[in-house]
Amino acid sequence: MHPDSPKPEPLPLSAQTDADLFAVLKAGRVEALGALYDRYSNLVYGLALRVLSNSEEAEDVTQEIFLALWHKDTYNPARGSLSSFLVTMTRSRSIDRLRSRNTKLKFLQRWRRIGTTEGSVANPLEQVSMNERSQFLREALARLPDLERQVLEIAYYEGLSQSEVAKRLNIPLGTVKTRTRQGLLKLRQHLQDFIQ
Amino acid sequence: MIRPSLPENWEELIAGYALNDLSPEEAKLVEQLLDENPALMGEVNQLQEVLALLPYGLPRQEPPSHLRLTILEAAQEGARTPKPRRRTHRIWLELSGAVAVFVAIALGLDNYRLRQDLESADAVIQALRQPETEVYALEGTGETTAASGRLVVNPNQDQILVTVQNLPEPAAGQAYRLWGLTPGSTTPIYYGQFGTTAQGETLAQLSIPRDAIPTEEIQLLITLESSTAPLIPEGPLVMQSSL
Repeated sequence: MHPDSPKPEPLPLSAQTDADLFAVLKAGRVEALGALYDRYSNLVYGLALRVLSNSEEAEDVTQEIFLALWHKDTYNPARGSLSSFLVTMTRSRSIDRLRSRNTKLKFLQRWRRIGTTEGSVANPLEQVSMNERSQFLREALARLPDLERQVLEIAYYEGLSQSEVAKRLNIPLGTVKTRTRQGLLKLRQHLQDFIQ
Repeated sequence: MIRPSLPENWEELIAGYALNDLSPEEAKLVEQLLDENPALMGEVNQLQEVLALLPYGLPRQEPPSHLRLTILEAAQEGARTPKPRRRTHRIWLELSGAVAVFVAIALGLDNYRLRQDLESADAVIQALRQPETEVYALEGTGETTAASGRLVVNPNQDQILVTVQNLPEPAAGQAYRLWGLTPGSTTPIYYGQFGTTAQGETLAQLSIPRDAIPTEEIQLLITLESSTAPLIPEGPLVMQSSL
């Protein structure tokens, strides 16, 4: 190293990984919450808005999600990525509001059921920037057959059951199930293709 | 990889598990598969992560600019460690002759108001007679910074008294609601609701369960709500206990 090289400075919060930010947040530093908000508020708010079609409610959900991250211990880094947790929680709370039924418990039960997956990076886009994630997702979704994309999006954003989706699209229940599951498997494949 | 123990459609079943769309029979089968092949949980995990990437495909939506500050303030509010003593004054009752005058001063009531609320004032006096009585100060926030008030609490009774000045009379169908927030909790305790007069005053007596009596650790909040809304604070914060 050149003797005049400046000492490495600690990374600014905005450059730290989610895991590091979460650790700082748990140490009680509210600026870590701010940094996570800057990173994920578009995603959380955009998803809540997509599900609820109401900006005030989307705002409420966004607030709930970030405050829950701050106050509660429901997120466990060993069980999955923070962004996935935020998204899944946002979807669950938004659909709760939409349908006035409690799916939150269901989500938390499922979240706890997921075991620790040591050494594996479950989120295929974990190392990819937010902008790239958006770009990859749009491309991967565009590659899916129309019906697979459609059933996947309806099930995901509207929280409809498979039989409700079948009724809506006037197609057999078996087809909805197969297409949704195939759609998800193909989406994973496309995303993995992008990063390899 | 050959997985002789797995059914041919195992991937689809795992996708169905991640999507939460399995029939009861399928769910039973998948639970069994997961018990026998714990490594499959990694597959479920990965598919759930993929599912959680879907919203990245949505058009970019910026939340309103004020939301960041609102959230960070709310976070700090809840995280604030309670000061050892928050009450403004503890009244060891030595009320002798001029009880009413003392009450009027302590609670910031004018004589007119006091005469109007003789019955309530009597309740205040009764409350103040107890050595355990504590008085908390309330201050206005936001557009109602001019508001001020007191909360008189006797932990041995199931009633609290709220006095408020300069808090605008709520519109028809609306009411002020008093909440308590314990440190670390995001679920406020509902204490009750009240209105104010055209002069912006009130002397309200709220009945509350004894195990929910406010203590000095509890942050007190008053919001403006629809008087028939569910008991969740959604309206603007108008007053809070001063720390």
